[in-house]
Formats: sequence, C-alpha cells, structure tokens
Amino acid sequence: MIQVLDLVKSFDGFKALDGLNMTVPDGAIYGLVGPNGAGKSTVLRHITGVWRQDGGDVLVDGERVYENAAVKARIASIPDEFYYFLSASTKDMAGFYRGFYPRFDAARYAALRDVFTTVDEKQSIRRLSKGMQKQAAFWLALCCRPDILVLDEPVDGLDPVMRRQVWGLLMGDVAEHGTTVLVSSHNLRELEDVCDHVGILNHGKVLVERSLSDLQENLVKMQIVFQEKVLPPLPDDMEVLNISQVGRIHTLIIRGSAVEVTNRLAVYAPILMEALPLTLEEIFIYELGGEDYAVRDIVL
Amino acid sequence: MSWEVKTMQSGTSCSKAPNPWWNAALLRKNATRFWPIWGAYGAALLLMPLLLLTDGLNRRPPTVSYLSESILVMACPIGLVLAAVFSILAAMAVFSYLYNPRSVGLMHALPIRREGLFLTNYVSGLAFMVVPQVVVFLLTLGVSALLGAVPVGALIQWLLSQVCFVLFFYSFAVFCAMFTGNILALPVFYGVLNFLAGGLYLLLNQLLQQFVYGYYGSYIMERAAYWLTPALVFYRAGEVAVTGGGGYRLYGLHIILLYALVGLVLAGAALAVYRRRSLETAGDVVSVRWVRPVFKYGVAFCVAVTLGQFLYFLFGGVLPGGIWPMLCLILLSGLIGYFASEMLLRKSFRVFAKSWKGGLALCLVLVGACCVMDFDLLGFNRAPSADRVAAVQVSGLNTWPSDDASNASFYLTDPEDIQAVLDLHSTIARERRELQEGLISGLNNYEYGEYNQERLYLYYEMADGTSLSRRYELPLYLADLSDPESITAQIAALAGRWDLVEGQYFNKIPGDAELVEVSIDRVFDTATATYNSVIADTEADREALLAAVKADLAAGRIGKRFLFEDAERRSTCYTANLRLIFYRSSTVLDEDGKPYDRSWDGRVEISLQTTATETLRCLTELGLIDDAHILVTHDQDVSEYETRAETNAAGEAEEWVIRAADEALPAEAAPRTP
Repeated sequence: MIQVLDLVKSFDGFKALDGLNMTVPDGAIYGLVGPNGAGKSTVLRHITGVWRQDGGDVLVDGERVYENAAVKARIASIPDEFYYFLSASTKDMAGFYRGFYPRFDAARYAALRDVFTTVDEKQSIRRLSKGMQKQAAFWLALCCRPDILVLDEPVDGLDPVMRRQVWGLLMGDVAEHGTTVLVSSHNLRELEDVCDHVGILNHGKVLVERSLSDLQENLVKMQIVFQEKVLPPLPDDMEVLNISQVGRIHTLIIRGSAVEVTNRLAVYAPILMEALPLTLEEIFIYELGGEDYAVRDIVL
Repeated sequence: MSWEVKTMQSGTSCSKAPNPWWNAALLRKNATRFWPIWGAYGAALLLMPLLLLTDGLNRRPPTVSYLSESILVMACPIGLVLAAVFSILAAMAVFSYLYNPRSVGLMHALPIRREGLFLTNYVSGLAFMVVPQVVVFLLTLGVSALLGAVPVGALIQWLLSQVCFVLFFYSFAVFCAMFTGNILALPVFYGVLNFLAGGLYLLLNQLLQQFVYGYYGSYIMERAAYWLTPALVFYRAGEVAVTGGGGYRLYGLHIILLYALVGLVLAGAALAVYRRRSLETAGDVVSVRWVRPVFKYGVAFCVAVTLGQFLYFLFGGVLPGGIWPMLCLILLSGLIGYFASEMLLRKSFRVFAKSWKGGLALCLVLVGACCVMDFDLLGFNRAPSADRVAAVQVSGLNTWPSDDASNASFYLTDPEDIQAVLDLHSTIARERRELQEGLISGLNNYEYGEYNQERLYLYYEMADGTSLSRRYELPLYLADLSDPESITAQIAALAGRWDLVEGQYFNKIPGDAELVEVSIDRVFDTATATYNSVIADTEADREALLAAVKADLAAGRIGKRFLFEDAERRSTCYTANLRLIFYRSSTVLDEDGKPYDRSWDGRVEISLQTTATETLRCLTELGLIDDAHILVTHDQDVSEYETRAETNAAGEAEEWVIRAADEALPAEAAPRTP
C-alpha cells in the first residue's frame, strides 16, 4: 500500500503540493487525475523517491520511500518524459536495469520480445519513434517485476492496438502478482476502463479519493421534464453541482445516490425523470467545477 | 494471443536486496559510455614511455639519473595540465545526469541511495585517470628496464604526483558539480574557482592601491591567494630539485600529498551537498539555495572590480582625477554583474523590476566601502604608537646617484630613529589629501629638478610580534628642503643618514670575502674624447682603494644621497662608478654529508663624488686617473653633448677638453696646470 501523508513541496515559494494525502491500496489500479499544474507529476516523483519532500512522508507498506533502496527496488516507473543513455539500446538498458533490480526477469524480457515486435532491441532507443520508445519503456519496466508500477501519461503515443496490449499486460500483472499500478493521465475515458480507484487532485491536494464505483454512486445526472418549463425551487440541502436546460429537459448533476435523489425529486411530480450514471470525465469536470475550475462558455 | 500467457512468473523473482552504497553495473556503464575520456588521457600519458624509448634508443646507454630527470620534468607542468583538464571532463561525464530533469528522474528512481550513486560515479571518474596512470607507470617501468636503467624512485614520485594532482582536481571538479544544475556552468565554475583567489587578490590589491592611500599589499592576503590557487601551488611544488647525491626529486611532493588530502575532504563535502541537493534544480545555474545570493553578489563584486578597473584603464585618461570617476565605473560594472547574474539565476531577461532593490543595495555598499577607504574612516594611515613598535624598515626611496645605495633600505631599532620615522608617518597621514593632489598636479606645475615623486615603504615590526606595512607615493619639492618640518626635508634626512650608508654598500659582502677586482667605468680620455674603464692591477692597489673608500664613507665624503636632480647633485656626482668585486670559495656539506665546493661572488658599485677626497687621491696616486684621464661630473657630461655639437660645427674640441678637465677634479685631489 502506498501512503502519502501531508506531503508538501514548494518551488521558489510556490506550493506545488500542499499537504497532500492519498492512499493507494495493494493490487489497485489507481488513476490520478487533475487539471494541468495540479501536482500529479510532482507527487509521482515523490512516490518513486526521486524528489525530497519539504514536509510529510511517502510510505510503501509502512516504509519510507526516499533513500530506501529496498523499497525502490519494488517500484518501477515510466515518467512522462523518460530518459535513456545516449545511444543505449533497449538491450543495453535491460543489462543496466538487471544490475540494479534484483528481481529483473531476463526470461520475461525474452518473452516480451514477442509482444513488442516493432521495437528493435539493438537499436538506440533515441532513434526509435515516440511510440516505440514508449513500448521500450514498458518492456523494461515490466521486466523489473515491480510490486508497484508508477506511470505518468503511460499510453500517450501508443497506437490503439498497442494500448490494448499494454493494458492487458498490466492487468495481467495486477491479477497474477497483485501489482499495484498508479497511473496519472488526462485520458479519463481510458482510465475509466482500467482503474478501480481514482484520486482527483487540484492545487496540490487530493479533492476526492474513492473507488471508481463509489465515486460514480455519489454523483448522479438527472434528466427531468416538469409540467412547467421553469425548474421548480429545489430543497436547500440538495447539493446541485450543475444545472442545464435544453428545451424543457433539465439536466441536473446532484451529489447523492441515484435512488435517494430520484425519491426526493419525485415529490415535484415530473413528467419524465431519469437517473444516469456519470462518466469519469463528467465527475472530473463537475467535482472541479466547485473548485473554481468549471468549464466556461467561451465566446470569441 | 493472450498477453497474460506472456506474464508468467519467472524464476528470477526470488528477492535479493540491492546494495544501496555501490553498483557495479553503473561503474561498467560509465566505463563503456565515457571511454573517449580515459582513452584520450591514457593516450596522452603514453607519450612518456614512448618519448623515453625513442630518446633512449638515440643516446645509448641512458643513465638512471638522466631518465629520472626526464620523467620528473614531465610530471609538471604537462601532467598537471592534463590532470586539470581531464578531471573536469571526467566529472562532467559521470555527473552529467544531474543536469537534465529526465536523467535525474532515471538515476534517482533506481534502487540505490544517493551515497551509492555518488560513490560509484566518483570512483568511476577517478578510475578514468588513475588506471591509465598505473598502466603507463608499468609500461614506463618496462621501457626503462629495456633501456637498461630503471629509475624506480622517479617513477614512483611521478605516479604519486599524478595521482595526487588528479585526486585534488577531480574532487574539486566534483565539488563544483554539486553546486550547479547546468553542465555548461560546471567548467566555468571550475575554471574560475581554481584561479579566483589569485585573480581576486591581484584585482583587490590594484583596487585598494587606487582607493587606500598607503596600501600596497597584504602578506597574509598574498599567501592566502597563493595557497588557494592550487594550480600555482602544484606548479611550484612540482619543480624538480637536485639531491646531494646527484639524483632528482620533486621539490614539494609533501605539499602535493597534502593537497590530495584536501581533495578527499572536498569529495566528502561534495557528498554532503549532494545528499541535500534539490534535484528539481536540474538546469539551474546554481542548484543550492544558499549559494544563490553568494553567487549573485559574488559575480557582481568580481565584475565591479574587474570590469571597473578595465574601463578605468581604457578611459581613465579622459576622465577627471579623484576617486569618483573610478567609483562610477565600479558601480556601473557592479550593476552589470548583478543583473547578469540575476538573469542567469532566473533564466530570464526580465529581472529589473523584481531585483532592482538588490542592485540598489549593492551600489550603496560599494559607495560606502569606497568612502570608508577614501576618507580613511578606519584610520588605516594612522601611525602606530611608538611603544608598540620594535623596529622599522624603511625602503623604496630611489635616490641619486645611481649605485648600490640608490634603493636604500634601513632597518632601524633605535627608539629615536623609530620616532623619526613615526613623525614622518604622522605627517604623511595628516597631509594625505595634499600629498595625493600633489601627485596629480606636481608634474605639470614644476620644472624638472624642482619636483620629484618618491615611493616610501614602511615595514613595522610590532612589539607583539605582528607587522604593519605601508607604501606611500610622495610628491617632494626642492623648495621644501629648507623647512625641516616638511616631508621632503624629513625624507632627505632619512635618506642621507651617513651612518647607515656604508651598510647599504657593504652589508651584503661576507667578512671573509676577498676583493678580487676594482675598476672604474667612464674615465674620460681627454686625448680621444672617449670614456674607458680602468682597473686596479694589484691586490695592494685594490686594498688601498677599499681603505680610501671606507675612510670617505666614514667621514661622509662619499655616498651622499640626493632627492632631486638639481644643480648640487649634477655638480657633485661624477658619472663614473667605482666597482668592487668580491669572491669567496668554501667547502660545505650536502644533504648526504658529502663535502663540495661552493663559490660566491658579489659586487659593490659606488658612485664617485667630488667630495670623496681620499678616494680621488688614491686613484690619482695609483695612476688610474691623471690629467689625461679624468672624471667628469654630470654637469660636465651634459656639457659634453652640447659642446660636441658646437665643436662639430666649429672644430673647438680641444678647448672643451681642457675646460672639462679643469672642472673635473678638485684642486686638492688633482691639481692641474692648464
């Protein structure tokens, strides 16, 4: 389990992480989402033990990550902008990693050759295309046999087929070895397909952190049509995040379970009422709407 | 195909903890990635055995002594320069990952502690140079064995010195590497810091001499600058000395070893900085927060001093006198340095609005410092109290005539003498402003011979064991000689101490030295109208002349000093100098206790004056001067040229010769009948 406790990081007075708390359960695929500059990459660099925190702590199974070689040996990462030595090939880097990661799996390296068929393992990684570089990064990371895999925009640059294959490999590791995957991405539709836990970051803090199903159960999109065109006054204690209207159809994003909200709105005798689940993207947008990060109508 | 099939458990999953302090894979990777560095260094070192081999084949059979000298001479400066250059290259290579955010991410996500990364990289870089050194050492050993003479001692010294050079320079380069996040800044830091102390000392000395009247240097600063300029120390320490037994050794191997230890300390300090380093500063010119203001104001100060003086050197000729033009140029240069460093730190040209306050503070500090120096608010020029002074050395005065007493240096311990010097010092301190103005305006306002500028060094040995030194440029006026309170008169009194003059000529001659030659240059031959040298032939003649000179010195008839090129000086001093050459030979023991001959010779030059009656009489008696071979004063010497010009026109040379001879010798010394 990864525990991030009151993590603080400042850059020249700017607090990139402001007392951030998050917990990634063992064996989870945890999606870390947030607007640009929310602090996603920063927190990942702390979790991989690269940066030293100004305050707080990052623990893996109760042990501090920073400067802890034993813990870091269990973590593999693919940063958004990864780096390999000048003119080093995938094979060279595999040899390098083998010298660092005691669990580096040479047999798996050989087996994955059949997966990443387009990657020439003897070719300098820097000479490969962006997508192939990404494949090489996955190839190497998966061979480290990590307990925790930290991925920052992992499938960016991969074609749809390769995305599927990579996610398949990751899911397989999660299923078979209980690997914990922490993934940061802006591709919420894709995260929605693979993640079982989601944390939403903004201004260096985690706003919401739940399992995806909990998150989806806690917000509901109601489409309602009343006798009158105007929306009747709703109860004060009903937390409505967003209201929109197209013709006579009102669309309301309301915090609460679908059953509870449906029951409460039923007293207004709507002509038509339907509770719809929210996508992760919608949850992201409406949760952040309350954090002064709403989608604005832009007229140019 | 199912991907899960590919992810079957491998046999390598057995857990083994990684070594957090060392990683051999990284060492191998460094060696294979950066082979051009150690390859080039090794190739450069290989020149040594190759040169020995070709040289040895040309001159058979080479001796151990010859090979030793050849090897040690190569140790420095060639080895020194190679070590300095390749050390920074090695440090740049093995720590290059610190200068790119992506490589920082790769290396620091690896399961190894920072200490492990540092140690492995540090050892890698060191091995780039030490391994080639050892290989070349063994190869040279083999080559010299092939040549039939094995200079083991010299080779070991060579290896030791090279390892130590590298240990220091490489550690220093690594130390610098920890303070920057920019790979281009690293060699700049390394180069600048290697010579910063020496350069800053020279510049500060120059600046202080401009602003602080009386300042000419600080021994402590000079020594500190020397020891903090390791390249200079190594260069001196790497000179080859000859041992008593005819062997060769490095002059300062112990100093080189000491600096190698300093290198290890620097490596330790570098590790301490690395442990605390904020890795997100990759790309920044300065990566350690507390060093940023040091860098900013340090650059501003250095640019102020360097560029300020350079601009003054360029434009000083068209600027008005005084300190203010210089101060303005220093302020301008300081601001340039300040904002330039701010731009480097912020990686932006838009720094003026955010950092003008710092620039203003810098200006205020510079103006304040200049005012303190110029107005002598710290009492720098104040003369010490007499009870604190144990002795004083007065030197620097350059007086006429030009001989061994021209640059007199008096060491005074008598309280009265010390008080006289202190009085002079107090007068100088009191009249500081007038003296400084006099230096600027004097040359334009006075005729030659009425005005002179002299330099006076005062070196006090204090009763508490410390020392105090001052240097003054003084304007002297002929008219002031009559006023005993004037600085000119006090200086003249000091320079004209008869009791001290003899020492100026003869103190350097050991008592047991033998007078082997006495000669006079510029004796005028009236027949040919040319100047010739004459020599006292016998030992008796030489001794007689020496006795006459000493008698004149004791009576104050010779060695009179003149501060001005005035009429008295020109009519009193002959153009001829008496030259006495002394020789001494002795047998001393060398380091091994073996006796060997050591010879010494020294020369005394005394300008002859018309008042030196005993000497002139002796010269006449010995026949070295006579009616046809005369001494001429400077007055007459000047007349010579004028007269020659005339005689060339009128053919009256003979008349001049008679006139010159009449004036040349005092009546009692060489009476002459026209």
